[in-house]
Amino acid sequence: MTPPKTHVIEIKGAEFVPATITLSAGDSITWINRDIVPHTATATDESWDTGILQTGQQYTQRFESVASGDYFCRLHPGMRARLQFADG
Amino acid sequence: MFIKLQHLVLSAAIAFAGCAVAAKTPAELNDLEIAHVAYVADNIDIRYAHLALAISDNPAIHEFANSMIRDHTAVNEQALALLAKLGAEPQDNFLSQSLEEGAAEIIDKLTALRGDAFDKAYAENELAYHQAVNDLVANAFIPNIENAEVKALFEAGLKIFEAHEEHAQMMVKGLK
Repeated sequence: MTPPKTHVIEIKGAEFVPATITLSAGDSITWINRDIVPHTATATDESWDTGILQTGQQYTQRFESVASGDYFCRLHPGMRARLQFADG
Repeated sequence: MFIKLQHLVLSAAIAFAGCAVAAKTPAELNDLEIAHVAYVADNIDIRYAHLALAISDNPAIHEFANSMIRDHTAVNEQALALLAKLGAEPQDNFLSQSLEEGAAEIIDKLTALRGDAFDKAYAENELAYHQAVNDLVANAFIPNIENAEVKALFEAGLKIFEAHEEHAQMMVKGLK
């Protein structure tokens, strides 16, 4: 069994980079806002939410189980990305 | 219903083309004049947003307006910080003045509206405004900005303003 990983997603240019990431249950994701305005990363089903991340701020979310992986920025609803679960 | 920004820009360029002193088009503005236009354009959208928060009861309008205040304030703060670092002052110019005149007229018209009529007019104006400003930034400003740091800030800002345009498009569709 592989140990849990922490993946990093940068927010820059009004995009989540990378826009799609593959993770396993138990992995964590750290979102870092490198953009010039605040953003959030928010599950489409609202099961998790980073809250508002100001420029330079970051937030880490651990995913204990597989779930729907679509998420977006509440402040800029056109910004969308996806989490794919490798063992889901 | 509202005066289109493109028409204002064109009218101003034509009007000033007839003057002996300052015959300029948006593409001929220098970096400090461009910075002034951007600052004015940001503040105009902030004023539209405050008007929306005061008049509208629609949560989608409030959400969008709050984003405009938050983002345009953040961009302006960074622009002013960059200019301070460079020891430069933004320079007033024909385009900034034209934008201000157009905004005053739009604010007068929006102020007279209420309910769904206001929401629809605000949303449509936001879409048209961002389309026009984004076109200006992408095609007239960024290709002509000389300072690398100023250019980088405008490139980053354009990405955000394109997200605003997309958000405005969603808001317009949601009101139909």
